[in-house]
Amino acid sequence: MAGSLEFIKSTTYSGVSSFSITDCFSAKYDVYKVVADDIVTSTQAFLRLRFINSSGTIISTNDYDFADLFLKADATFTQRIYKSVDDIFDFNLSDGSLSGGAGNTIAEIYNPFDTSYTNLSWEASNIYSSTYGVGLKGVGVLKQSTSITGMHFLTNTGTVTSTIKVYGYK
Amino acid sequence: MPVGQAKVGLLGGVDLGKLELIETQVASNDSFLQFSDIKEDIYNVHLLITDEAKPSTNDHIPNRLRFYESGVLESASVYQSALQFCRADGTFLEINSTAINYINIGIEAGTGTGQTCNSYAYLYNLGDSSKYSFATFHTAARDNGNGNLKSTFGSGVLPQTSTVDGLYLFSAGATTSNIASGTFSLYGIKE
Repeated sequence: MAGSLEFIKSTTYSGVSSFSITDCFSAKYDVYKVVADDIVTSTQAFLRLRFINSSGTIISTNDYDFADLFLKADATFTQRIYKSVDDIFDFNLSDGSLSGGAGNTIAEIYNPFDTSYTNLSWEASNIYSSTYGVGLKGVGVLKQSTSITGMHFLTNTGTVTSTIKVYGYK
Repeated sequence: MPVGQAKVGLLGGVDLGKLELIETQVASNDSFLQFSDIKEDIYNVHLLITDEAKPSTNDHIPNRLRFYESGVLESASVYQSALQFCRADGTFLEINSTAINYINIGIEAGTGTGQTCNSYAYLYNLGDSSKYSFATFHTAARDNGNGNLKSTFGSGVLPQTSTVDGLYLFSAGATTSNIASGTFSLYGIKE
């Protein structure tokens, strides 16, 4: 009997400022789970997300909205609200090469392949300022009526090492 | 069916799916629950589901989480946690700590009808001795004292580079209590 969380693709990148995972969304599934674990950056950096359309183009136009909450163990939480920007900036915040402090993000991507807006939600955990735990919970949307087939990740500074795994909900 | 043939689909492409159940425990007035074979050497990401948990004492949290590190329970105030509390009566709170002796993957529940705690928690890097062990979680519950629907979401971390090879769940408020009931299921997310 087949299970309901089906593995599609896994990609590991090491020491790069950007990378793509192509052909991971299709008509086979409506909802996807993306697991990004062991996120380590060369310096404190955000791991940003853009989507790739069915023509293979990385969408970098100001068509993303997102909102999230940074939950800090040591301080007042921070809300971030962005409309009409060119990426999901806060997919993860990594504190660089802090020993042991590899961050993680789990995201749910809704209906990327059909020609409607692509919505997502995500939660993440990491260390910031070398010492303190931080969680992140967010929602976002790509406001283009277009078919999405992949993802592109990039840092705002420095390089990143991570493994990205994509699953489909059956 | 031979596993090897199944993996390459020679016998109809059997894929058992990548959310693999490791263990389910059903509480019955237990002072604690222990998951001791969490297969941390196989999975880098675990999922712990709490279903309809109730404490033996009203308004206690029936699923506070601690980790075993190489078989030794970590109960010192070395965990960090940050969560957003949301309640249907309009109360929203930020709750955080840099020195706490558990991670709250649940919220207060009660002994009455419908006063249960339900949650999911993702656990990361447990088996990697070079990394800290993180958690993200989301809960929904009703307690006895206030009675309104409430929820929390947040994260926690044991900021120690260690191998976590077991989970410890207990119930407490101002004092400890028992996990009166509830079903707790641990899964691994496999590649």
